[in-house]
Amino acid sequence: MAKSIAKKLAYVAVMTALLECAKLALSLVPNVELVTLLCAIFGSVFGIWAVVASFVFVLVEFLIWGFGPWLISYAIHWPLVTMLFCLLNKTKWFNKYWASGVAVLCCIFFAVLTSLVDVGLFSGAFDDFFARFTIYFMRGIVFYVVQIVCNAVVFLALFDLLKNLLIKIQKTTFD
Amino acid sequence: MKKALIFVLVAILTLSLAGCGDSEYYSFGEMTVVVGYDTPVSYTVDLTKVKDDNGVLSVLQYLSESEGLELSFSDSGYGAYLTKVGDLEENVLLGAYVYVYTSVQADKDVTIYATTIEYNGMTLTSSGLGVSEMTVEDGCTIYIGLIIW
Repeated sequence: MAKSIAKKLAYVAVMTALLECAKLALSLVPNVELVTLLCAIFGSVFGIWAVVASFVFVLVEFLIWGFGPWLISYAIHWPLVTMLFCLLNKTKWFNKYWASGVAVLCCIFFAVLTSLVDVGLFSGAFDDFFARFTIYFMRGIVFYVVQIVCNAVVFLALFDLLKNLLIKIQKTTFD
Repeated sequence: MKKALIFVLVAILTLSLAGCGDSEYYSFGEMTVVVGYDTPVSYTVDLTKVKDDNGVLSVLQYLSESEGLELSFSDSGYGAYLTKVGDLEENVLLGAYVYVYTSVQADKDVTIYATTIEYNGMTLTSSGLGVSEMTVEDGCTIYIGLIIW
């Protein structure tokens, strides 16, 4: 039992490290990211343990960059993406096309969420809230579109491939 | 008919030459750039002398050439990022960063990260746009300072 838990915690550590590496490796390319794909695949294959890894990833981000309102967006978004794919993977009809579509919706959600948080949704800065939200969202729209297109393509190209690879690893070493 | 044609040609030539000056982008106007030392140093910039169209970055490059203002910036996919203006220099270990404030309403930061600064009776707000995207217009004031995060 203890050995099994230790093994799962080791998986959590590896998943967290991969998320952080993927984020840092692409940090110089605006809004081109693999964190969504990794959260989705980990959630699909490792279930609740991947959700734990996504929380630890947010914690590592906090340790690297310190606290900021953006951390609230991260703490909501990444575990939610992981959990969503964990649940969707249980349905029979879920394939790479659906995964790509859901990834696009996740990116749109991320764009709206981060804009709402940055404009002050959780800080009580409600003066001209929607006007400021609109200005801020429109300023970032090019970056959001890049993230959406990037994820749509990456999911179509890699989701099945990486998921099947991880399922093989999971079957031989995880349980 | 011939006279009308000559008139039209002369008008076109006159109008096309009217746009020729030192600058391809600004035909008139002045703006103020303030470098926020303990005693701020102010530069008045004749916009007709600014040669490029990279927002405030072009103005700073012009000041670098004409006034010897030290200027360093990195250029990434996110746009230009100032690391040194005059004696103001980024120091990541101290959490000190070059910060740009503007009087242009359209460029003001609308997030909870926005800060303001008082200069000459004006309240300037931190910019919500990168320095190469910021608006340059007649009468505007840009204040460059250091901020500790």
